[in-house]
Order: sequence, then structure tokens, then C-alpha cells
Amino acid sequence: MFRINLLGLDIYGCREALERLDDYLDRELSHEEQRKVGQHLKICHECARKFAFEHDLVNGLREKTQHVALPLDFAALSSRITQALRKEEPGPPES
Amino acid sequence: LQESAILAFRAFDGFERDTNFKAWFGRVLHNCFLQRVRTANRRPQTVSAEDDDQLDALYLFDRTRQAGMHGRGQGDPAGVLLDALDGDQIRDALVALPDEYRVVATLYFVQELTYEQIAQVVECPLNTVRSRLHRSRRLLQRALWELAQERGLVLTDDPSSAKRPRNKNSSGLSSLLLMLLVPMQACALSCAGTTSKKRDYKAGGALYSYHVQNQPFRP
Repeated sequence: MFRINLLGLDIYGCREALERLDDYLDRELSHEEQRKVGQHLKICHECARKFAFEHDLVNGLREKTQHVALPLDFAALSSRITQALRKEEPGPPES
Repeated sequence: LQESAILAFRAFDGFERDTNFKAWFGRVLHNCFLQRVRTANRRPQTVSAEDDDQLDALYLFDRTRQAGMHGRGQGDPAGVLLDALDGDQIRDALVALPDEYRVVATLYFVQELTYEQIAQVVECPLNTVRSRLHRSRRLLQRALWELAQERGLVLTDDPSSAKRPRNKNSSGLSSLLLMLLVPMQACALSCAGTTSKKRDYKAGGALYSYHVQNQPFRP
């Protein structure tokens, strides 16, 4: 539960790691924070199980919702987003 | 439909003999539908503080563990739970989220956008997206758990499930009601001109017979 700072190692405790659960799985943390959470998961089996559960859940939900029909407003929104993202992507290199 | 059948059962005194039962039940069905729409429209679009307090970060992890789904050889509990629900049910749970959470959750789960991309689409600060996503995940977890409970896919002594009146009234009255419900449902379906669509729900307890090796988490 406590932050561990032993022999110069600075890694998160359980609470700090769990506070960053979503951001860690989505890779939205800074490189340093991502490293500290990763280090914690290597030594804490309980937290690793919790993170694995959330990871599996998000992936499973994404898989399950890929092929479902969305209501009309979302279908239209999705289409606009896809178009917007395509515009952002760099085109093929000119030869 | 079951709600309509219960209403019809209660209001059966109002049914005049030798009149068209199908038409009468059709009216009950229609009124029930209108009532649902009105109730849904009155439903608040934000989550109350009380609800928020009950939304712990590991809601589904804790519930599945309490339900004994984390034992050795029982497989990945999140996957087992999701496998027991079909895509339409999950879609319905997603669509039923309050507006502010539904939008970000759909962009996140279905479109698989990053936080920054979601922020651009909904024109909100990044931290707003982050907090909404966090809460929408928990709301969705709660909805999925309730769905699994309703479908009898998980066995649990979760105190919240004890509040459901349907679990308490397993007396002779329920049996009598069931006997009435079956022909009434058939009647209503023929009245509406539809055929019964068989749902692909897994049998209760299926979650417990799912055996694969637990895989260690590798971030």
C-alpha cells in the first residue's frame, strides 16, 4: 500500500497504481508513470490480476461491440468520425 | 411484455366477456409501452452523488470475485462474463448510459478513439473526457453485472440483488402467474403479428463450467 523507495528504486504502491489503472491500460500516462505502474505490477500479483481483468474487459467489450448495429444518431456520428480520421491520415508518398 | 401480462392479470376484472381479448390485451400492451417511454423520458440524465459513491473502480472485478468466478481453472472471468452476453445486450447497456457518458463510451469502445481524439470530437477538455470515461466504464460494469444477474447467468448473494422483488416472491402466486403468462404472451405475439424470436442466452450456471487456464497478465 505504500510507495516503495528502496535502494533508489522509485515505484508505486497499490493505491497509486490503481489510481492510474485506466490511464495505464490506455497508455495515457507519461513514460515515467507508465514505467512505475509496470514495475509495481511485476511485484504485486493482486494488482496484476485487477489490471488483467480490466484489460480483458475492455478488449472483450470492444470485440463485442464491433459488429452491433448502433442507433441512427451514432451511426451518423461514427461515419463523420471515420471520415475526419481519414482526412487526418497522411496520404501515400508521392513518387 | 411480461409487465403487460402482469398488468392485464391485475386489470382482468375490467375485461368484458364476449369481447375481443386480443384487442383488449393489445391496448394494455400499448399503454404499457407508452408508460415506459414516459418513464424513460423522465429519467435523469446525470448520475447522482449516491450512485457515484457506489461506483468503485473495480466494480465488476469485485462482484465476479464475490460470485466465485476467480477460482483456478475457471478462465478469464471478464471474458467468461462477456461470452455469456450477446452483442445486442451489451449494445443496449451502452446505449442506456446517460448522454454525457454514452457518447464518450461509444467513441472509446466502438470507435476505439484515444482520449485526445474523443476530446476533439466532443469538444471537451482532456480531463473532462478522462473523468467521463472513467465513470462510464464503471456505469457500464454495473449495467453488465445487473444484466448477468437478471439473466440468471451468475449466482450471487450480492445484497443489491435481494432488493429485487422477483427473487422474493417464489410462492404459489408466481406459479399461477406463470401459467397465465405463457398463453398471454402467445396471444400478444399473434396479436402483434410477430413470431417469437429465440434468444441465445446461455443457461444459468454456464459461467461456472467454463474451464481454461488462467493467463498471467503481461502489461
